[in-house]
Order: sequence, then structure tokens, then C-alpha cells
Amino acid sequence: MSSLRKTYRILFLLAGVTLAASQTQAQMDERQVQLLLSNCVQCHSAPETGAPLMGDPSAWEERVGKGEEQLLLNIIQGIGGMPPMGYCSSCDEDDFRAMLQMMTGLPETK
Amino acid sequence: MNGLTGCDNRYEVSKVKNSSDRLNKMDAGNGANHAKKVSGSNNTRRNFIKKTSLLAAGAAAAGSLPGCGLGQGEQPQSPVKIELGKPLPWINWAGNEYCRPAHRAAPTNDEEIAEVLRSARGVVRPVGASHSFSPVVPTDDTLLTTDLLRGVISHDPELMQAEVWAGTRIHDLGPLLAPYGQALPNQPDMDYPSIGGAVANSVHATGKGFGSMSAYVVGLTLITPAGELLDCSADKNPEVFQAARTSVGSLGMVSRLKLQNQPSYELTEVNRIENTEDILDDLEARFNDNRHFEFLPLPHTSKSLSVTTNLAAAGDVSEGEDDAEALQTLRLAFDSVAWIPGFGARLYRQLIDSEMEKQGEQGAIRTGASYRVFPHVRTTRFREMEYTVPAELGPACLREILQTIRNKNLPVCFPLEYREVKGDDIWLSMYEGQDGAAISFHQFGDLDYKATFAHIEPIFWKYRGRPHWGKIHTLDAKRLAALYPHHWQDFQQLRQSLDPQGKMLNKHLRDIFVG
Repeated sequence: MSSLRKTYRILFLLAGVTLAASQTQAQMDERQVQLLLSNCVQCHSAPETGAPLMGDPSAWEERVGKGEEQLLLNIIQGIGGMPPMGYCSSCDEDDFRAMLQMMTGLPETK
Repeated sequence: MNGLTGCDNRYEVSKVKNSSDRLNKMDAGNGANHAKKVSGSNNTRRNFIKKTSLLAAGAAAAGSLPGCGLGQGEQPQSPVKIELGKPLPWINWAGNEYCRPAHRAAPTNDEEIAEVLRSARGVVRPVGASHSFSPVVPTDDTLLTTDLLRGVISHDPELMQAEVWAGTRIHDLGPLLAPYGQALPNQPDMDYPSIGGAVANSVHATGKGFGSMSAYVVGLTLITPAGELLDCSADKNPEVFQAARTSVGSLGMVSRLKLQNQPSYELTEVNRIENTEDILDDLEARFNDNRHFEFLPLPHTSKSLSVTTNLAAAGDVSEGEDDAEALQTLRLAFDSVAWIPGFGARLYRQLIDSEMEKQGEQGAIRTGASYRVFPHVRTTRFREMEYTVPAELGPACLREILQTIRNKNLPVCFPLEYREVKGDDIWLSMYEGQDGAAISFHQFGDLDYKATFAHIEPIFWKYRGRPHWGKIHTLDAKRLAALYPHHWQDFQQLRQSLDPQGKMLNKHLRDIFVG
């Protein structure tokens, strides 16, 4: 059961990253990838947490409608089960914006 | 147990215990599993939700309710106003602590850490996953983050040890160690913290035979406030080692930890609703007979959720799953009736107790790799106070707390938590020199906690409780010193020798270490 769940999680993560990357021009540098892996992935690739999953368009459709600025504020202020700053003490606004674009498929901000 | 213990459930638990009797001695293996079938149960937590939802819905239908919110929901949880385009604050998980550091450093190796510490002006505070409730992190000067210090550095298959970066999150450690056939011997019931933060604060799990996370550190690299690297172990810089295994980040920054692990293993966790007094009457056996045991008393009721965890056996299967919203539903039930003047709390108790009696105790089961079974999802924001009292005083302390909640009709429905941890010899560990019973008291994150905590904290003092370093308490250096008679002065002398300028001391650390 646990190995199945783990495999599912990995597959979901890979699919999510691939899908998100294909939908957006968002670019994350290596540092941001590390920050994402250390903090965001624990919930946004785990269905049991109830968090919207990476690369799942249906989970993000309504949220994206709120606009990038509001989603950014939600990350920083925390919302629902997500704590303020999403566990990431190293992240600045640009980091959060890049991660958001990667996760949701939002177009990159110029 | 009246109607709570159905024959089937009693049988299941009996089998789990019998299995654990054979296997629970620091089980060094993937579990030479013994035939055991755990089945026929539903999810306790989910059932509990259904029951409490029914209560709330029924009360609402009767028209007796005030407006009852469900907590934070979609509300922002930041304690400060956020303005995009300006430097971000640091905020902890609970949302009760924050700061605006002038400088934020995210080093990737020892040399970068040393340079930050050498060159920093003002107060430097290291931070892991920001999960501490106490103000151990805030600084207006330099915040030293560990997000980029992650991963396994090396491993020793013979000694079953692995050296890891201190910023590695506990949720990462399981999958990272698994390819080497290693696993942590024990883990807390949530895996969000970094291992460095966990060790700094003596974060613990439960199990009579298991120490805190700090007890499994067999070596570490400390980078002092002067930027000097010190390799520490029982044989090398042994005094620094004993101090740095629980230092609240006051000695500099621990960058690497060598952990004593064990071969990978699988666990089965069984959740049940039981009478709190039945658990307390049987407490010694519960802890002695099971690899891990804990229980979560529900305030104002006679019930607890018990969690019994042992090595998995062949045929164990998971049934049900965690429901992260259970706490909010419990709160809805409480809010729905407890406000009624004169008898609201008693009504809540009667409703919860009678529903549980009718429905039976139904055990939820989770089985799988240890690092998947230990943690639970936490999506409800709360504030926490925890004290460790000598293990033999734990039941009396808990009983007094539960009675006080009733007598004073305190507005709290968040479950308490009762765990046991093996004693150790780490200078400032809450378990130094004694086996401990860790008792946690919580309040929802959007409610005032100070008034409620103030009623409970003196009870912990009465039972010689030591506060958890990362959780809320009001003790200062003088009172803390009295709780650590063996090595308090040793620690302070060492700390001053490593940090004569007090570079690592924010206001809170000055309060608890200097006074």
C-alpha cells in the first residue's frame, strides 16, 4: 500500500511538473527547484493533504481566476491548511511567483 | 467499557498486542512478520466526524445555535499585513510569531554558513521549517535559513548511520534513507520540521523504549558564532556534543547531523475511541506492550482517541484514512452546544459520550513503511503548550488538567495529547535524567490561547514539568535553571564561551537563558 502510494506520488509529481512546464513559460532556477522540493511538494503532490496538486488543471482553475496577485498573497499569508510562507523561510516574492507559475500554469510575469 | 468495546474490536487489539510482544524490542529488521490479520474496522476519525456532524446538524435544526464559524477557513493567517513589492516578513507555522529580518541568508554549505556567522552584525537566528510556537526564531537582523541544506551526505551500512544536512525535512528523510535500507527508529506524528530544528528543540515522538530525536544523534558539525567548524560526538568535543544536541540554536548553527538509524521496517497503527479512565488504568501495560502508544483525550468528555503502533505483520491492511478536517468538525459540535448558559459543556459531554457509546469504538488502521505511518496530515492551525513531567506523575497531571477544564468550564475542545519518551543524558533535553510523560494542550489558531493556557500551565509546574523548548510557555531563566539541576550551569558556561557577545540570543533566548 505504502509503496503504491509512494509510486503514485512520484508519478503524479512528474506528471504535474511536466504538465505545468508545458503550459507555461515559467522558468525556475536550480535554487528555486530546491526550495520547491524542500517545501511545496510535500503537500502539493500528496492527495491526502487536500492541497491543490501540481499540474492538476481542475484543482487550479477556480483559484487562477482570482489572479496571480491574490494567489501570491494567499501563499505569503497562508490560507486554509497552508501555513504562512508555505514553510519556506528562504523564499522571496520572486521565488513564490515562479513556483506559483510552475504549479498552476500561469504565464510568466514580465 | 460498556458498549464501546465490541467483541470484534477487542479481538483485534488483542492480536496486535500479542504480535507486538514478540516484536517490540527495537525490532532490527524489516519485520520477520508473524501472521496477524487486522480487519473488520472502519475509520474511527471518519466515524467521529460523522457523529459530531450529526450532533451539530441536529442542534442547528433545533434552532438553538448562535452563529458558529469553522475557524480560519479561507481567511489569511498572517499576523502582519503583507504588501507585495516590499521585503517579506518571516512568519511561523502557527502564525503567532513573525519578524522582519534586515538580512536573510540561505547558505548551501558549511563555508557559507561560517561566513554569514562571522560577518553578521546584530542577532543571528537559524530557522528550519518554522514549526516552533515559541519565539525562538524572530530577529530584526540576520535570519539564517536552512531550506537549501538538504539531503544525505554519507551513510554507513554496517553501523546503520547516515550523515544528513540539518535543513533536511523529516518528510524527506524517509524516502532519502530508504534506498540505503535505513529508517529513523521513531518519528513524531507530523513530519514538517527540519531534522536540525527537531534536534535543537528535542522534538520527540512516543514510545517507552525510544528517546527524543536528539537521542539518535551520534555526531554533528557545529559552526560557532565565530565561524569555527567543530566536529562533535561522544568522543570528540564531548561537552559541546552534549550541549548541541538540544541547544535551541544558541551555540551557532548545526549544519550536519549523523543519525543512528535502523534497518527499514513497516508499521501498523490502530486508532480507537476509548474511555480515558480505562486507558489511564491500563497505561503502564499500553506503553510496555506496544512499540508506540499515545492517546488524545477530548476535553469535556470521558473519551480519548488512542493510537497503538507496532511492527506490521503479514496480512495487515489499511482501512480508512486520516481526515484532516476532523478537528474542525469537533469544533463545530462544541460551538453548537457549549455556549448554552449553565449546562452547555455538560450537554456537549453527554452528546459526545452517548454517541460514542451507541456507535462503538471502531478502529482505524494504517499500515506501511514506517515513515508513511508515523506522520499525519495537519491542516488545522493551532497553538500548543507542552510540558514533560516525570513519567510516573503523568496520569495524575493529566487527570488534574481534565478536571480543571471541566471545573472552570474552559472554552476548549481541541484534544490533548499524552506521550511517553525514554530518558537521556542530554544536558537540556526535557528527558534528561528521567523518563517523561509529554502532555500537550492546544487551542485553535484563531482563538485566544493565553487565557486558557494560563489556567493550565500552573498544573504542569506543580508536577515538576519541563516546557518543550519549541512550544509556548512563560518560564524564565531562573525557573528553568531549577528544572535542570544537573547541567544548566554547564550549558550556560559553554554557551557563553562559544558566543561571548550573545550573537545568537534574541529576546526570547535572553529571557530563557540569561534572565
